[in-house]
Amino acid sequence: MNVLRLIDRVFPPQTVFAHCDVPCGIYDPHLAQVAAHTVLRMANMIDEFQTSSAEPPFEERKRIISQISRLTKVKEEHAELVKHEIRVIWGDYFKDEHLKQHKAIHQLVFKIMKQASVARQNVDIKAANELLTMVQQFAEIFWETKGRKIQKVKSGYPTEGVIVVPK
Amino acid sequence: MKVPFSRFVVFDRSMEPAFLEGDHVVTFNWTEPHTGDAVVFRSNGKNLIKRIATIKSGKIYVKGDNRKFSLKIGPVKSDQIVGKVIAKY
Repeated sequence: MNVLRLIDRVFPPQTVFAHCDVPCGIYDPHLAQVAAHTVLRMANMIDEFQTSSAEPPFEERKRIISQISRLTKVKEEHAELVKHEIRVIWGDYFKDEHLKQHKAIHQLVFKIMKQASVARQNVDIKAANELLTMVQQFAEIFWETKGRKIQKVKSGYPTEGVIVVPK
Repeated sequence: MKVPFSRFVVFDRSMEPAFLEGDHVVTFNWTEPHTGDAVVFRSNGKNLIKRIATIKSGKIYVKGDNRKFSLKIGPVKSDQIVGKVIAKY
């Protein structure tokens, strides 16, 4: 099989998609936005943690460690969910005609992948905010390709901010 | 006549655990695909990999192995089939 891998280096194989659509045609960047809001919320909650003293009692430490572990887990999962959702829409929905209109989409997706990793690896509110902004830009482009005007509605989440939706 | 062998690299996770994202596969199309075979087929200008769930009246119904990511089962015509997956490397 190593011979085939060598051949692949010279003549790369085609990509084959395994996504669910045959084709379902149902794509929506809403879940990516919700996930990005969740990453921001988790970063905020971890950042807001305070202890009763510089050297808190053991029981309090246990409680804090447990809560931060849970928040971190959710942050990591939702950063990964952002990447998955964006990747699927980019890979499965976007066609050549969309790319002609929106030449920056590849670069934007690349930046979202990197930014989601930064937001996942760190407790960085600024990075999480930047990720959310990028995902919203992606949502705007997505709805433009469908000929829909967009509006930014208040999310109603603790993160405040908006969600990009079609009018 | 179709080329008998084709090579592909898998994108996405709907065929896990049999085919992971990044796996390379070879297809062969000089045999008839049967129920249970993993096949690559063309749909809307894209190559898709799925497993044949059933074949009825010439229509091939396919589905993904990973139901968490793959929910749709749809009919595919035989001329859309690029080939049966015969090896992963």
